[in-house]
Amino acid sequence: MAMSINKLLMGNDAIALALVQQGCRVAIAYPGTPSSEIIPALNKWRDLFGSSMHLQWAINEKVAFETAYTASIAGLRAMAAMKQVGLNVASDPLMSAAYMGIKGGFIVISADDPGPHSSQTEQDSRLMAMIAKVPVLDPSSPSLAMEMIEIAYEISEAYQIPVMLRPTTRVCHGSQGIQVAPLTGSIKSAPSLEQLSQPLSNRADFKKETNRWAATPKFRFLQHRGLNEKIRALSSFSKTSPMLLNKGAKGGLAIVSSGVASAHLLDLMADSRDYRHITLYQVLQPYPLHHQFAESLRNDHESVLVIEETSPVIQMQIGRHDKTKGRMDGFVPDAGELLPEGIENLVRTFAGIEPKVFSVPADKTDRRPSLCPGCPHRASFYALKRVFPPSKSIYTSDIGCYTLGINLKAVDTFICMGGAISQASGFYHSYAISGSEIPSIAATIGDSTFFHAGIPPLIDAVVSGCKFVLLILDNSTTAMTGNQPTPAQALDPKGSPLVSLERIVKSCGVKFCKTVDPYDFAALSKTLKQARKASEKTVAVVISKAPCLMDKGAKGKRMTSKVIINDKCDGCGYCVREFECPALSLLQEQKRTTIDYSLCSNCGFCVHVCPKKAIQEPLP
Amino acid sequence: MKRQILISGVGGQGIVLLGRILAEAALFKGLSVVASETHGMAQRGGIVVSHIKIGGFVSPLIKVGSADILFALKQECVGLYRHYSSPEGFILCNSPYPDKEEDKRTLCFDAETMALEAYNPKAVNIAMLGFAFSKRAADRGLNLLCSFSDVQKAIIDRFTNNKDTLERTLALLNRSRDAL
Repeated sequence: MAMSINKLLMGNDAIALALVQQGCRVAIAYPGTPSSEIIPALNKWRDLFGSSMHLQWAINEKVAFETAYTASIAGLRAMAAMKQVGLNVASDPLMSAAYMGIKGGFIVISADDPGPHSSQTEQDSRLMAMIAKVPVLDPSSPSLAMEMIEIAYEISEAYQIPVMLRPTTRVCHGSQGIQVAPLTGSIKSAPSLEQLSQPLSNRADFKKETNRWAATPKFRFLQHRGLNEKIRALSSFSKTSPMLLNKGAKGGLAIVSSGVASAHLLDLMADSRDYRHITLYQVLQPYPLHHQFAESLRNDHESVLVIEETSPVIQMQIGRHDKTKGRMDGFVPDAGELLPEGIENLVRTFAGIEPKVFSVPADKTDRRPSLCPGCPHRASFYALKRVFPPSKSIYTSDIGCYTLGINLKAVDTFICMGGAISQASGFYHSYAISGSEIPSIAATIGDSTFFHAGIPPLIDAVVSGCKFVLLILDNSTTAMTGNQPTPAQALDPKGSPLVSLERIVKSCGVKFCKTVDPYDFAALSKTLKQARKASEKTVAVVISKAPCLMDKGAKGKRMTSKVIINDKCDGCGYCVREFECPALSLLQEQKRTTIDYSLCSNCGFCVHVCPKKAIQEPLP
Repeated sequence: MKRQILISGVGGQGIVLLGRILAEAALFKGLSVVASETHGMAQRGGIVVSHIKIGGFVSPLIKVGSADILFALKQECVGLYRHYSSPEGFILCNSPYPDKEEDKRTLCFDAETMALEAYNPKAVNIAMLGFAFSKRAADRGLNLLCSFSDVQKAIIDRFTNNKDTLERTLALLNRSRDAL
């Protein structure tokens, strides 16, 4: 036996290791913070253990869910991963999959982002599990997440039901030392799949059962009743029973927590003796809540504080709202991430102890996330603003790095994946029907987001007679989440792309579609003007194509246009204001713009920006 | 034996890497570690923070007022994160200015220049890490629990497949430790 070593693993890495160890055979995801590292980690562990496993970045979460779920009904252990807002996209198949059930164990990982740190909402996926009536496990650490993967497969197969694992940002991007055996040996000495815990089946073997897998409404009613029975049974499943973390005074106060809040509470308890009289429980399975546990909380404690993220899922199920305090009644703030200092004061107030004063400064930073220096999107946005003046235009945009176009004032709205195009349609129809003068409407969307959810709204826009310009910012990668591939990167055996963005756009009924290099300011401006003209009649599309600077694997032009500021600079600040490149800053006193060469990527685009011709390439 | 270390800076400065090296070094020492990183939108030039908790912790987040060591890879981070520092905590700040006589807990080090001189301008993180093991820091009583050789081992482990990066990183680490 090779020695196991204590390895620092991030939550997503640990989750992936457990999936490989538990014999997951099909794993599919769409990237989204904080879930994005699961697939790359699976790829690493699969190769290390020599496991046979299908890994895939799907075009969107719905496709990821449906494909992985189908692997499960074919008899294999499977997994679909996404972020919480991705689960919205996959919610349609989730609801039905709960009714039909599974064959091979099936786990849906939906990573929540209380805060939110990198999301449009801080919605609670556990509520979605409740709507779907599937059990959900809520880990407080990477190591517990690993144990929960094993339990989730066990539950899934024993009860024939999809199981949700709901890690939050602090679990996904938290890390701890985890025993990994063996990691240092060569791949050949690693255990084979057979030596790892055995999956239900190693071969796909779909058994036809029309009443189940193609159930009509009559059978769906029966399936719903069956699902309710499963959930009732799971509310007394022993392995996921709540854990007693601290035995306090009999009949006194109790705190019920789940997820990373439990970890904060444990550190707090270790730190101070003030709270030892409080009974502390950790809920592992927030839905369905174990009914005996809920009953004992109601009967055996004077008062119960529920600390959970982000919605009152546990509190709701305990009942007896006169006895419970939590997110529901506002005792715990009804929005936002729960941090250790906030939790300490909740516990103190609950225990009747004076809260501590934590001096937290008001957020005084003016440093905001920004498109990288040299990012092709910045060049596209600048040209867009020049051709479509802000005062006469509406800019709809979408989810991705380019949402940061708000810094350039080139983004007026964004809502969700694909929304830029539907919102452009919505604005067009609103102005057209009400007789107001129709402003120029320019939508921006990234290539990955366009593939994800942009194609149906583009077809609708064409069919319903919209007139606007769509600028597709094509960097051929999913940049914000760490440069995952997009469908356009898939090649046929001869090396040509299997899927072409331009051909898809044209197939949607778009007559004007041109691809242009965003760093070529003259060409981009000219193309945008042509598109504006064409959009007087219909939807016109411009594809602004250049690789992401952060994408190490991308082939593209090298940035070699070093620029300098000459004496014509009078410190007017136009470049800083309108182009918003982090490498450009205005020295107020000297009345001059300066370039930070440690940030500059030599894209050279700012030469086109300065109205005084004060930015130039140095003479050779 | 516990240490809570908060590492702050700006996206692109290698905050995540610095945190991982420290966490791995502590693991080499045989200590338990929990940590928390920033990923996603903030990495595009926003403020990025890593929490490293060494020795017997469960929660991955440091409570306000309890960090033993605060790394500020940008000077502005001192103001933004000082409240995390415990009354006895140290602040290690990337700054070209000298230490203030009245503030014995804040140590300034010009990591920017150090990194530039080592032809490794983006490695401000490594320069700050090396400085944390300098004589100046040790004389003030700074102790990260893991040793300099644990850190070296963690770096070797991480860059084992990239000899060039490994050599440059170790050289900068040593120079920064030995700087006056």
